[in-house]
Amino acid sequence: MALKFIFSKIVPSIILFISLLVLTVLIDYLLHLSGFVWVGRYLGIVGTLIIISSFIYSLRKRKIIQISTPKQLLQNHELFGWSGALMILVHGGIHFNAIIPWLALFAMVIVVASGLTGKYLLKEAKESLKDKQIELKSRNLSPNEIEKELFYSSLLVDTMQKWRKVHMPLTMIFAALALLHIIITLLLWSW
Amino acid sequence: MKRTLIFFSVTLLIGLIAIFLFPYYAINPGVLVKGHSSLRNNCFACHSVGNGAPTENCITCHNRSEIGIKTSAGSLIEKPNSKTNLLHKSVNDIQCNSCHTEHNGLSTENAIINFTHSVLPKQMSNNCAGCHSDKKPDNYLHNSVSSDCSACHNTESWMGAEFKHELLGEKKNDCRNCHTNKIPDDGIHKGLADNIQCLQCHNTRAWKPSTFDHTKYFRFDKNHPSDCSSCHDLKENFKSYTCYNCHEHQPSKIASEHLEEGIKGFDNCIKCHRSGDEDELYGNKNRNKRDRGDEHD
Repeated sequence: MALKFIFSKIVPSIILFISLLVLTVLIDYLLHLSGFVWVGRYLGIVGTLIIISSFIYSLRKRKIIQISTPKQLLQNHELFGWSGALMILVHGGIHFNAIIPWLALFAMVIVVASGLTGKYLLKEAKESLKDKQIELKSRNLSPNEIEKELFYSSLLVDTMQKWRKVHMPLTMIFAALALLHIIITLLLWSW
Repeated sequence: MKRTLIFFSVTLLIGLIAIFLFPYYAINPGVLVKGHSSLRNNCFACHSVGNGAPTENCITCHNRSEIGIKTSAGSLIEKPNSKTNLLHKSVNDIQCNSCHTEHNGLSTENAIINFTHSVLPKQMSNNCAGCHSDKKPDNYLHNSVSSDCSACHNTESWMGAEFKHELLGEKKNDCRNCHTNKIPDDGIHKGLADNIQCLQCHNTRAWKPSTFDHTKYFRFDKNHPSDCSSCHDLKENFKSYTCYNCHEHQPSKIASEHLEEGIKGFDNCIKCHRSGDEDELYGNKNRNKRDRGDEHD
């Protein structure tokens, strides 16, 4: 039972996180091997744009925009967040120079880990809600009563709200550090 | 929302303070070259906003005509480098960062990342000896050609040369001056007189194939293959040969066939037979002689 729980719920998130790190090392190695290290510089720009586009979900969730569905945008948020992070990790490479960009990179990895935790928590909470719905049905309650009961159930909302209290500050720390790195580069680089 | 903005603002503020107090540790993209270590906390000594590290900033300290001879402070360098000086004097239109980067480690060697000969002005790129005079080999070949290195060499590497024998002028016929070690130790080549030129059989593109025409002496066919040892026992002297190595041409049989037709003096087979066809004799004149019975005498 415990093993089934670990493999069905925790392992997928861990695999996604480890594959992010392994792919980074692999791509970085291949770029060095083939003499295309310069590509890494531009992956930083592409990765940043992809991550920024993943925040369309946040705008939709706060009803600032009304395009697509939150479910679809959440999937995009997860995909774009992961692939953008991969590009930025390759962009950073395995160099230890300036503190600001490295802290930004470190914060980004933490945000990805936090995002994968949120993905797991959301799945878990949805399943708990489904179990509760089955339980309410078995008590022969009418559909209206079931809906009312579920509406007042704060299980899903509570879990995600608690997680968001961690995820959002981490994201903001990452955003601030990344912004500093981008501004400094724009100011001092020769374009 | 307010809480997240606080996190954003505080991080931004701490970051800005770090950048202003310790710019080198906060934002430098790599270890600064040793010579510029005194500028490590003064980014704008070299950088301009939105313009990277422009040449104008470099030449504030580095006078192009003095590079390699004087330091940026104006004192003479202990071991002046005339090549470096010549190079930098000649590239007035080139941006310093086309070749140099300063954030690539302490060593000055790491600061040169991208030098290509294409940045040089034409009169300088054609004057290889101006920088590489010490690299011209002192041998017959290089002493025989002009000083235009680019006729054979390219700027990518010294070894990737494409030598054309025409560059030697009249000397191109004196193959032995360069190819002394390549004359094969066999009868054909050892027996050649000094006035025989290699070019009579070989060409300057490749040693093989040569144009030596064995048909003049004997034409090969499937029963008379071109492997030398079938006929030439002595490798040292290819003028010597024998037809008796073959079972078909046993001395007694050959003798009886020739004597039967009244032919004497048949030891030198190729005098009449220049192919495996016994009826194809060398020249009609010979044939007539043979018919008259006075051949081989």
